[in-house]
Amino acid sequence: MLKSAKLLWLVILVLAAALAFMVKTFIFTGNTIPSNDERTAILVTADERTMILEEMRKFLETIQGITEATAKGDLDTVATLATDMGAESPDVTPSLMGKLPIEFKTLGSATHALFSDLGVTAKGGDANAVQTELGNLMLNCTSCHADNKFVIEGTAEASQ
Amino acid sequence: MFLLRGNTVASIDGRTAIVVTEPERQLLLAEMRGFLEAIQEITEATGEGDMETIASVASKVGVASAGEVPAALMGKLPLEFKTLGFSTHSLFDELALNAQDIGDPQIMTTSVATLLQNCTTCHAGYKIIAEAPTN
Repeated sequence: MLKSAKLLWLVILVLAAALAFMVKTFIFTGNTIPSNDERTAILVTADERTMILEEMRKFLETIQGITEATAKGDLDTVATLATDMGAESPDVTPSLMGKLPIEFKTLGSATHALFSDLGVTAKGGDANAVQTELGNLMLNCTSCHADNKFVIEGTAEASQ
Repeated sequence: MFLLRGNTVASIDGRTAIVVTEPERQLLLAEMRGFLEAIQEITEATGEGDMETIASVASKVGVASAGEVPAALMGKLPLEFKTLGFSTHSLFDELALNAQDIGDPQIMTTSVATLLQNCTTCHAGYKIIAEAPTN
């Protein structure tokens, strides 16, 4: 009886350690390695990388559209562009989600939320406030690009 | 023809892949991150009406900073990419001058929108890939 209780505790400990490892990997660390340019390399498949880079180009195009509309004093267009981008939900598979570090996921989600906030500000009609908020939103872009890069799994760069 | 097309191949995502060495790729991507950081600071400063910061930030990424691109790398870049890159550096210089001389936030925002148009055009048309190492 005592022996089987000990065995049971051992199994529970092993399972708990495995669970902790999986939580750390899939929620916090993701599939990452240090990069030789001092950033963090997030390892993904070629298709996943293409999808994420396309998502980032959409951010860039939206920021360009917002800036152009702000220059023309067209804050209705700013509100529409920002609100639409805020509501957009990237098609991230659970497998890809597990590869992204928590910092990246947090910044991505915060960026969408900041676009939504910007939409509300634009409806208020203050172009200077739009500029300030857009500048603040772009800090997410600069900090993410400064810290992270996407590398395709299995390539030479992924095994450095 | 090489002058026009540079060292490029068609990419599966419909863009043109510019093939360079890994250090050259790092240099180009770092330069682009410099553009992004400058645009972020300029956007924030425009909202605050801070023309001094705009002039200072924009002039740091003007044409003078383009001289850091080695001649070997320049030869691998297609003409349109070089034209967009040079135009972007020039637009930053123009932005710095306008911030100093005119100081109108609306002109600043229009200039940044034009600058960003260069970024979106370039990102939609090109990607930079590293050639296989020879050793």
